[in-house]
Amino acid sequence: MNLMKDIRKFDGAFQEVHGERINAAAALSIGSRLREIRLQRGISLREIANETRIGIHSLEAIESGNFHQVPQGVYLRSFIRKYARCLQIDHEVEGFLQSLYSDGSGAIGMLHVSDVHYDKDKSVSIKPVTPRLAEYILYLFLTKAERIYLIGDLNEEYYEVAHKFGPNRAKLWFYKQVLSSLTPLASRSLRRLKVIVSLAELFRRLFS
Amino acid sequence: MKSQKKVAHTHLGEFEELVLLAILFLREEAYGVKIRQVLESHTQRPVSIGSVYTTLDRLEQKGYVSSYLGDATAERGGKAKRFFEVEGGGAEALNHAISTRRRLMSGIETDLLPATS
Repeated sequence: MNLMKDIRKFDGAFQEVHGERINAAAALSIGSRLREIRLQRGISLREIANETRIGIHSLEAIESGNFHQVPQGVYLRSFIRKYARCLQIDHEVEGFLQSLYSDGSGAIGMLHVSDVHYDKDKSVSIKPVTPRLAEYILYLFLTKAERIYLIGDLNEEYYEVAHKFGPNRAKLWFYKQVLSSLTPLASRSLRRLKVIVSLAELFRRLFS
Repeated sequence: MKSQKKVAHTHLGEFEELVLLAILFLREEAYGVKIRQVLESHTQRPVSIGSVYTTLDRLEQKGYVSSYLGDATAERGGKAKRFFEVEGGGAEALNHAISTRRRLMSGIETDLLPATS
């Protein structure tokens, strides 16, 4: 892995980010750490983007340490924190953020420390990021109350499936559940419609 | 005349019957996820969460089950569970369905029935 070489090359170097001097080694350390954890857990950039509401382009820029490509410099730190929180490594990244604006000889050491071990139990301990499109389709057919307990049920089982079989299987499971739920839910809405139509018919006959 | 009306009233569909049994089976743990899983594993065919809830709603309208909102966990995205209980009417309807089957089965010659192991 030539990441360490890259970081060493950048040690003490600065990046100009929206008028601020940023320690390039620290930037690369943070980015590569986030990327590493994300890939380890099999989470796609799209999922992170959905969860954090940060654009994929910005996330890519953060991961590659090219912080100057992240729009609106004021938000840089908040973006990084959000991303880190999403992966639940915010405590770890906080240290990196400190060195981001220092002369930064500490950045390399920090990468070592955090690289030593990672709690394996936490490997999928991310909030459920259920497929957005499927959830939206379902929303159209649900009552307000159902959006709480029914979606909650789907979240819970999605999390369970993701834990056992990985995120891709979980997504497949989720889509299957949503699609097979549509028939009973839609026919229910249809029945309601029929009641309204027949009531209207009744009124029409009564008053004509 | 009166009893006939009552019979028509307590009619249960097959899936409704299974859902009622699943609630009784699960006792205090009877909420969407568990009901769906129990049904799926016992019937060995895919069961969607949507069909479980539409059936539960129908049963609740008939007064066969009641429900209340419970706790929310992190993996549920902080969304509450809805727990179900079988009411008196539901138990009655279930008994009726089961005894109907028993009565019918008692009239069938035993060698026509699949062997129970």
